[in-house]
Amino acid sequence: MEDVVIFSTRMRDSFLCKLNPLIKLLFLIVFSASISIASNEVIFILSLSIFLLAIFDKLPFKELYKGTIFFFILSILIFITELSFGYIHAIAQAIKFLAIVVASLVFTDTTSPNETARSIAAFLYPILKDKANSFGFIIELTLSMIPKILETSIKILDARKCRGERMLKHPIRMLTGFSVSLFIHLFDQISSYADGLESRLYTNTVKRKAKAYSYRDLITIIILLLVVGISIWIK
Amino acid sequence: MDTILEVKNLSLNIQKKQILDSVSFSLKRGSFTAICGKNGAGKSQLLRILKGLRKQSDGAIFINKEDVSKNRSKRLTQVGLVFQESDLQIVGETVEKDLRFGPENLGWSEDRINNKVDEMLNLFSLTSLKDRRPSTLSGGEKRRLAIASVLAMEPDILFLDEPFSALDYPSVISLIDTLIMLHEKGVTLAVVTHEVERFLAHTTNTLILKNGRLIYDGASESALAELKKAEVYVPNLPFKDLSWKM
Repeated sequence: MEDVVIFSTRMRDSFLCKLNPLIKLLFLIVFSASISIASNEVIFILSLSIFLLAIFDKLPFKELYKGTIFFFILSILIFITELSFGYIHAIAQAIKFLAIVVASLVFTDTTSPNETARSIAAFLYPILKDKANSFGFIIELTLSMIPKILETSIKILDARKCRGERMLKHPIRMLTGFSVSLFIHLFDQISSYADGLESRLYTNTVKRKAKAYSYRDLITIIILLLVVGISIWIK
Repeated sequence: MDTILEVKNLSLNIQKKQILDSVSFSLKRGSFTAICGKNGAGKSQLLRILKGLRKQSDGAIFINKEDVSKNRSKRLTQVGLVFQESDLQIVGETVEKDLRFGPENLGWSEDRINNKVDEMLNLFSLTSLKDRRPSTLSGGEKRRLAIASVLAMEPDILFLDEPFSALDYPSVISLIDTLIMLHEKGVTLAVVTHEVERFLAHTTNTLILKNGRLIYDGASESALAELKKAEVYVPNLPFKDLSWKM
């Protein structure tokens, strides 16, 4: 069985997975913008909603812990730097940051890179024509490489640990060695991945079928409008 | 049987090293060929050139009597290649989406794609796995998916690079069954391997490469002595017993 890696997709039969990627992307952008300008009270409400959504989505927090520890450390740093404005404000800022991270995790957990790229390309096609397909192609490749980079990093770190390397002992040597290994592995992987795509005639000019819109998307847009409306009203 | 693929004086040099040296051979339509040789003999590079993933230094390639030496896109369409590391070839999020990927790139109509996907799911017994993520499949299932995904694009010839590597015994048997079934359906197959004892008895002809040179091109039944010369392990068994499928 494969490990669950952050920013990878677990396709399944759920409400969120069935939503159109563009709607989810719009939701993510509007949510991030709303929470960024919101007052402390609204930050707590919006954060609670997104954490509940993550639980509803059955986001595997336990498995994701290893990959998300970096964000927890960052949120602690945010808390410390914001302490001069008071405890409540510092907690709100740290939680705000975590809420945006969790929202991104929910998005990537329920949306495949291919679907996202195809939906963006289909949305832009009436304006950009063939360039929209090229744009979608670039997004698709970039997004599909993110889990590969993370997977490779974890494998290299594990391999180095198995051979007795301890980060605290020689941190600079470890980081240098790790970076070199990572780049070598990634270049190999990217080259093989490109061959795999080329052998199956993948080009940036083919127009691909995008996910259709459904009643679920309408419900999400209504919720989105409510979130924005409430945020502005309270502000 | 007419000739489907003809290779004339194919050479490949990489950084002044001769990887392939004037290799010439032809494949008949519907034949089942084993391409053998020890590691580093140039087998995989030969396949990459034939598929159009790599440029040859010299030589000509004809498919259905048409010169495609400089037409890489034609080779990409007409030649199917299943990689040794089939994981690298699987790009869809689900089994079904992976099967659709190639035909979509060929610009087929939705009906034609759906029919082809259903046909491949049935042919390779993948129907019950169609909604699974490829990364959760077993090694044998992944290999079957990789072959099905390439065949879904209806290539004229199907090359498989070391298809038995890293497979357990039941998966090897299942793969041999798949290859026999494809051969009986008239698909032109060529399998690169150095493990001839697993399936050689089912092949019709054999090509043997040694240090980038083709040293044998003929019937599989008569290839045993030459295989030993090329340092390929061949057990002391009659030709008909050179298969894991008894």
